[in-house]
Amino acid sequence: MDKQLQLLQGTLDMLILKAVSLGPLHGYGVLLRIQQISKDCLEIQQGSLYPALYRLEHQGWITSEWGESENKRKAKYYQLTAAGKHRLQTEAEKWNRMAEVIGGILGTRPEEV
Amino acid sequence: MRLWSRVRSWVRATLGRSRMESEMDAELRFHIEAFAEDLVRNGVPRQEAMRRARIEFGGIERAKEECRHARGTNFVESLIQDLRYGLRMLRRFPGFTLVAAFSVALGIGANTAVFSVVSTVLLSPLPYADADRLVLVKYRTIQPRSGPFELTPASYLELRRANKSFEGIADFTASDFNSSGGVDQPERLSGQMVSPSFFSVLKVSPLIGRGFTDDDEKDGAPRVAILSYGLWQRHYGGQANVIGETLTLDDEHYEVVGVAPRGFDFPRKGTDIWVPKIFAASEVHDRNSYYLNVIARLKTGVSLDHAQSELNVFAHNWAESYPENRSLALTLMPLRDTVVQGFQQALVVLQAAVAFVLLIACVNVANLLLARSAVREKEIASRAALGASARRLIRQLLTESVILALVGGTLGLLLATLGIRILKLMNPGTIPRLDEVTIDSPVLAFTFGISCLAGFAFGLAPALGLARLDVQRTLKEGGPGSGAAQRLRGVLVVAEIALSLVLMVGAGLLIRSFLRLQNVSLGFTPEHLLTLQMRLPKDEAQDSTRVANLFREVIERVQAVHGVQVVGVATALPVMELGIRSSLTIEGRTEPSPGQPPRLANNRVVSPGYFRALGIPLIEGRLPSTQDSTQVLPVAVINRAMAKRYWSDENPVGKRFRLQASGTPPPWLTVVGVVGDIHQGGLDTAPVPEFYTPFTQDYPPFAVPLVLFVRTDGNPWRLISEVREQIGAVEKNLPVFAIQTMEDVLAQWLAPRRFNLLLMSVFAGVALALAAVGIYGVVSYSVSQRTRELGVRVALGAQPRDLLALVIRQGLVLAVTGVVMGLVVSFGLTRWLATLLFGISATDPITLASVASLFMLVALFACYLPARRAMKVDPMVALRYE
Repeated sequence: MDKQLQLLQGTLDMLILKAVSLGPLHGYGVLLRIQQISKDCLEIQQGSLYPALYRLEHQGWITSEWGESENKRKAKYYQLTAAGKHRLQTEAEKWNRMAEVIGGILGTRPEEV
Repeated sequence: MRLWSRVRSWVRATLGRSRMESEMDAELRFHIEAFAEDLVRNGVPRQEAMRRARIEFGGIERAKEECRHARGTNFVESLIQDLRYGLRMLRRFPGFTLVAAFSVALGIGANTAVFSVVSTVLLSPLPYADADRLVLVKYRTIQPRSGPFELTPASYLELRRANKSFEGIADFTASDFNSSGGVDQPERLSGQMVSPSFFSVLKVSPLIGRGFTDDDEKDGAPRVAILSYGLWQRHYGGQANVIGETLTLDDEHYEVVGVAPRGFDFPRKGTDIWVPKIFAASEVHDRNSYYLNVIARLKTGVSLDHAQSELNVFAHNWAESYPENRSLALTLMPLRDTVVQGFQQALVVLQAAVAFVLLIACVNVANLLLARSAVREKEIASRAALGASARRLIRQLLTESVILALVGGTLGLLLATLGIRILKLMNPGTIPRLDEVTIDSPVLAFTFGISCLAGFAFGLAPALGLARLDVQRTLKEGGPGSGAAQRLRGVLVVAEIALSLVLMVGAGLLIRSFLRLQNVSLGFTPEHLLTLQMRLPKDEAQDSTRVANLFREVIERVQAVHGVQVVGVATALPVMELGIRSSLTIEGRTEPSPGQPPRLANNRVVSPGYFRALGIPLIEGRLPSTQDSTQVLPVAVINRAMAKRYWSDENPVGKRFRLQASGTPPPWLTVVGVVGDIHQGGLDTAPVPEFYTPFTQDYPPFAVPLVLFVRTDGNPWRLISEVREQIGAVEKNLPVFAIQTMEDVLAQWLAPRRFNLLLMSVFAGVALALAAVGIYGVVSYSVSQRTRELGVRVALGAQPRDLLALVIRQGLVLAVTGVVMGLVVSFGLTRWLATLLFGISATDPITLASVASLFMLVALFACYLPARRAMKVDPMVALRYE
């Protein structure tokens, strides 16, 4: 993978929600999980990850809890709340519809107009 | 739920700020270390791994700041930063902080003190249940419209019987008693004769015992009394078994049936006792004795207007049926208005005055801040260059000034506490409810509010000025103050002078009025005049011959005391009391038709020596003499105002008039003389018609205190014990009280006016001092700015005198502008003072001129100090300067 994709504006929140929906994660874990799922195609600014996590927690979509990491160190774990689950669902639906519409537009051939 | 989580996160973030902060650190550290460990696992050396991890992460501090922002704690966070920074700045300039905080403290202290009085006296409800439903019922004349006066028994009783608007209606009449509770020294008790409904109308129930019942006012009912809490404590040690005790008042026995709750002293401070008023059969139809105070409680749902219209019907019907009631209207006055009457205006004026003081203090501090701005320009420019937004800078500077104001406000609270204590000590005895005044939570809230407001007020202009700085220029040149700031300071000083001039004009007008009042021609000579009050036991007061004999003997004995010139007796003190008001019938004149004013005059019963004792001049005819006994025709002496009003074009001597009364008319009184006027209603009111009757023929209709006037050769105080001794020799059970010289009596009348004047002068003085400091500050700052220019002038041959003129001219331009503006504002504002003034108009030219000159003098002096410094400028030093 030579060139990573720049994250679209506003999609980081959704990705974080998706990442933690698969199980509780600490901040670094969220980063790894997104990179892993995206097969390293997405470039995520590490510095912008934490403000996003704090924002999501402030909005009540995720909660945090201190726990122990794989290498026996204290780490803060994030978990999806019920409201967050709902939110993820609507966001995903919106995204899919958007992708469909945009894809449809971009896939249009001259004779179809 | 989302809202709740937001609030929770915000609260947690705010309260557990340091915990959140360290958790955030730990979390980010974990991230970087975990990242580094992964790199190490891939073969990167540890140190290099850490470095790369940090670089990959990006700006940690920025991320943290964004995290804080995401949590919504940024506002609190930066506020705390601002507070810390502000406190540091204030500590860095202790001199400035002290002067500014003290200015604010003066303004806030004065406001807090006056507001605490206003809050108690004007804003807080009277200490009776549903006090806003309580009204006083009064008479007044329609044409000309008079002030309110008391009801007659007949009208009161009819109103009580037939009204539909009031839940209850009660009367009260002051009546002092001589108590002889088995003690040698007879005591005078301050009492009230009231209707049984009195306590229920006020919704006050006795602490112990019972209230009055309707049976208590029946003629011939056993006499009962309710004691005040104070009297109960004083005389009975607060024992519950006082109920049923017998008390001797004016030689009559009263059974104690109740004790009023603590603090209850309606209608007069220091009331000791209440007894039922019993109307004698002869009084029930009395339509001529206006002496009953009537208080009523409006029924729920009945408005003041509705009750008033019912009263109008009563008054109308009476006017048709009884000649005495012609031209009399009934009027309702909310109780609270009557309690605060006369103070409302003075307090509002004082509150306005202190608001001015605070405004001036704010202007002064704004001025100081502007001066300091010059010093801080570089600092602010650096902050702006480092990325602080203008909004952020303004907020920071405002935070600083609000802190300053709060420091000043706290100091001000201390000053106010002190001020209130002084007010209570100086209490002229006429400010109602002054003892209740404290700094309570509404007052604290007020102080906090005005402190914050003041902080914004004086901080805004300097903050805006600094936030607009040209960063480039300031950092490069580092040169001092912009011309704009200096111009703004000039404007502020002009405002300051104008505001303090207005205050000083107000104070000046009060001073001039006061001087005028002191110079009012009294109509008598107050010097070397001793006054004593006495009250006869009721039994004796009923017997006119005994009264006459008693007083003849007292007068003779006191007259014989060495050093006494003349002795007189009257039923009221001059200037303090109006006497008894009655309507008259004049012989040979038709009664005034309905709609015309009744012929009213006040009456005093006097001894023949009264006029000589007071020094009241005889204008026509003769004074009463000891020959005017009950055996000869009743006579009267009238004052000049009465002669003018009722016999304007003829000689009143020999004319006859009599009091109006239902039933048998009283005998005609023949006018034998005309005497000079006295301002009986106070020095600021015109003399009213008045007639004097000799006590050898007449005696007061009900027992009122009698005043003995003793004119002495020298110091009246020296003779007190001898005079008392002589009175005691005549009648052992005659209490003598309220011994004072006539000069003291007058001083007492002037006391509340003196009090207003004093406060106003203090506030105006503070304002003037602040304004002087303002001028001095501006001029002296500009001298220091112009040192170089002044040096050049000297080098080019300017004389010290020229420099002096130059500097003073600059200050005087400000002063003259301020004074002119102040005079214009005064013209608009002082008319609010009109009712507090006497004998001068609200735009009295002498006051305006002298205040303006005073300001010019002070301004001149404030300019002279820095100008003298300018004169000493050494051109060599000045040119090397900078």
